[in-house]
Amino acid sequence: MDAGNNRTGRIDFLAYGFIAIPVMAIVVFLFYPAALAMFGTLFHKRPDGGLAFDASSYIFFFTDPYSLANLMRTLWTTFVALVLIVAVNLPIALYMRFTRGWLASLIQGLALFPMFVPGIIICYALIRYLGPNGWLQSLLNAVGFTHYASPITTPWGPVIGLIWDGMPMTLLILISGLGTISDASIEAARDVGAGRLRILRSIILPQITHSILIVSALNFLGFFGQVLMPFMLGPTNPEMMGPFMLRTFVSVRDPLQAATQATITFLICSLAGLAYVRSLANRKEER
Amino acid sequence: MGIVQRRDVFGPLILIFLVFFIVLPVATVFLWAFAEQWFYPSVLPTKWGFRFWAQLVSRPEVWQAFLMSIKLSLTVTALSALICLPAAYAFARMDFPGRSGFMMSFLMANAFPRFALIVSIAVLFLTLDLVGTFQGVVIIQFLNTLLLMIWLPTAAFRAIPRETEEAARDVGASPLQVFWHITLPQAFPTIAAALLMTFVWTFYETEGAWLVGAPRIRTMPLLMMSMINNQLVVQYGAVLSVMLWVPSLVAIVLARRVIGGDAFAKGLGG
Amino acid sequence: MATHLRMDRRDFLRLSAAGAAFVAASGAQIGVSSAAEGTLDIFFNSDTNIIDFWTNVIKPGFEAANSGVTLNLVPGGGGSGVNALADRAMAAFQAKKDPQIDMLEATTPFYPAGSIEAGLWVNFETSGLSNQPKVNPVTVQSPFLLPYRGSQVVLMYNADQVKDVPATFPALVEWIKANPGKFTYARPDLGDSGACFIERALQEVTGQKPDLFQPENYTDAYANPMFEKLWPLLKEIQPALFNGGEYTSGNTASIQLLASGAISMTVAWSDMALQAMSQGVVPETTAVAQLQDLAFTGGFSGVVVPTVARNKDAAIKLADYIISADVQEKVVTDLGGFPSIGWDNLSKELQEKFAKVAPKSIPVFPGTWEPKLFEGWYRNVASNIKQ
Repeated sequence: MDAGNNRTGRIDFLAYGFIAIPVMAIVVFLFYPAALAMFGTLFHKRPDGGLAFDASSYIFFFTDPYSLANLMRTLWTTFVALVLIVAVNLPIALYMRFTRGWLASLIQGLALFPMFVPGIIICYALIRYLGPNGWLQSLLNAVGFTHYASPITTPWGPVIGLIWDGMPMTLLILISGLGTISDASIEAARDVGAGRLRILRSIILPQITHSILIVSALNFLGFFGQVLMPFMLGPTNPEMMGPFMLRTFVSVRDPLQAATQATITFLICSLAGLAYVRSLANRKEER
Repeated sequence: MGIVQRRDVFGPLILIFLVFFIVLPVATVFLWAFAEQWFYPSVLPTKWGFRFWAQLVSRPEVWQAFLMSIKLSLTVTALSALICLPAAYAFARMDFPGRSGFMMSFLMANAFPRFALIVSIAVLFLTLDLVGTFQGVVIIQFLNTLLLMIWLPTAAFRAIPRETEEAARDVGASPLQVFWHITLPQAFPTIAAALLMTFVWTFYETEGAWLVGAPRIRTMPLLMMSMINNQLVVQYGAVLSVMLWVPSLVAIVLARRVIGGDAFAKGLGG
Repeated sequence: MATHLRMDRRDFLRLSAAGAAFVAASGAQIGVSSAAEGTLDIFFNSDTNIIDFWTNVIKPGFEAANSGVTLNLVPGGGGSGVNALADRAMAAFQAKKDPQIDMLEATTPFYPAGSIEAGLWVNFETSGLSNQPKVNPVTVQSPFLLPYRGSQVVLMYNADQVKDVPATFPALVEWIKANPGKFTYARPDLGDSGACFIERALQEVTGQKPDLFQPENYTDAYANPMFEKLWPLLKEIQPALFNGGEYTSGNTASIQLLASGAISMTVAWSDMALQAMSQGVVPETTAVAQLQDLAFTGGFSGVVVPTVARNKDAAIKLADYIISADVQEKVVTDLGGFPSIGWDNLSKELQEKFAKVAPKSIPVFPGTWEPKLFEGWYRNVASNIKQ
């Protein structure tokens, strides 16, 4: 993850004291129960009391076209929402970094506002606004546009909801990342005749790769396991993994399969985390 | 000085996007808070009224719950800062085996779907006699803040050039003085962003508060949930949201002074 | 933490009593007192108007008869909220601690999975309830769930657009196909009104014989041939549903879709439908109707008591009280619901008065069939994947 800022190369044992409380908290409250749940998906109790290895729930998942379709839909939604959330927030962050004045303040206020709207409220608001016979349709009708097709209950419904929800965090992290670029370096580039696109590509983007990676890793987690948005805004089928595993647990009453789905979700999210760490390590080496 | 300063077309374009994407959905909630009836295809509510406001404001538990939420959020945010900032500093500045692994573990801890863990978590809280207590709710909400409060400050500390700290140390400042006077101020904009998000997310957190706190600890969003979930009448939820937006707007204006402007220059990245 | 919006059938059995005002609910004491001997913590999955009913009828009656006992009525915040409490009760059971939960209203003992087998819930058939023998057996889904009020599912429609409301199931199917995009129902696991529609369709394709479906007779071999007949019917009407085959995310969502005018007809719980009409949530032209050939299946809402509840004995006493003739008569008169005990236990007056208006009972579909039926629906109807 890093080439180390510490130049002495000795081990700082004090660090373990600093990280002890948060690490213990997640080990006790999250990792231990999660490990038990994952263990339970692979080792089942035999009638004689012993444990037997059994991967049949995984075999079922990966041979079941229905489960796989749900996994594919989850991946699609996650990636589309990730690409769009960066595509939407990067220009806004750039604007806010390089502009002063009332318009920038207003844009910041508006773009950060979703932070204060809980998920359930925004679901209702989006249904009332974007939904069939919603406010947007009323407004469009009023100006004579009558071919409105609602994104609610289509795959785009959850994508819109997820972007809404993830916008403030994404924006805050991107803005902070842009802060490291000095105005002087951009002025210098402009003086030698570089165009806007070139400045963006050769100066700005390389500087905020770290921020984009953090944003992607954090959002991947939030998007992939999301329950509320796909429930409220998405289509009945295919389901996203979040609603799918809850339904398996609550309605189908199959805890083993639900835990298997949870473990698969966990492994995929961990891969995203690992990808983040790897790319970060590679970047450090290039420097 | 800016690249979009002279012919500013981006600003208005972004503004138009935000109007459609943020303002209008929020306005929908706002209008509903003052509507008694609203049927398609009417552009504005078919019947206006304050009925729902009067009914909510007159309930004493609304204010109790609001105070409880503020108290909880402040406690959790302060506790999280106290515990996570040193940890973040260790991750950014100290060298120890397993550093990347520990750092990753905070992400992984949030990757396992919670529904499969709820019973185990509840057993722990019951065994420790934390159910129905303020401390119990603080702890479960604290767990949710770890990822953000460690990852963002770590990145912020790491972005600060080590030379400035070493220069201060050379003139005789103690490590604590260096941290307090040199490191912390430079990392502050990012830390402020993390604190703001932690505070707001904790304020609106419901699942943990309900699992551990009910029915003794009652927060504002829990009250909201009981009025929104499965309710035919959406106005109560709308009114409560709008009531909460007033303090939120004040917070965001104040935040602009901290996170806004030139202070960005000392942010995340690298 | 993951939220989920699982909505039980029992969530939605709400009263029809005219437009229950929210203000009245402010009388409900929402958990300010500390956990104490003699204070029963009762969590509600139902709407505020059911809490009103408890506040005004059950609480005063029970507290007067049992001095030193106080009922603390707590709104549960929807299906996911009550499931979280069931999780906590399960955890308390494992840790041998007080869950601070004495009773859950309008939920089922089937969550969390395995809780019945573990012994988490009180068995009402063996706990000596004096009124237990009066309970109408068809309303009982499980010995661990005590039913106390019933409700039926009806067609809810906008009379402006639906001039001739279908009176039989085949007529309904014809109407759906003739009016594409104007009807839909809730996903069965999220909104039981949708489940009741599917169950009524199942009764239709098996010759309108509700007796085929008994709580204890589910086996894959017995059920699958019947399910195989059901899927083609539901698949056939799918393209004519809202938005080319979309289902709503719950009972409330169905009514709200109807209110927006996007659809003209849906299925809904009668109490919710009447409440929506009296509160002005839906246009004034909204009406309800029941099928005349064989009514939609309905459902009963009940209470569960954890065996580890601190005030278990008082909670069992309370359970006995809510199925007493006194309270059950109030369920009919004040709530507009169905009694869970046999009508012959109620006063003669009441029996005569309601004999003409209400059916003696409402058809119920056994809950033991539902997990397989709903999972099959997702795989064979909602999905386009060939199995």
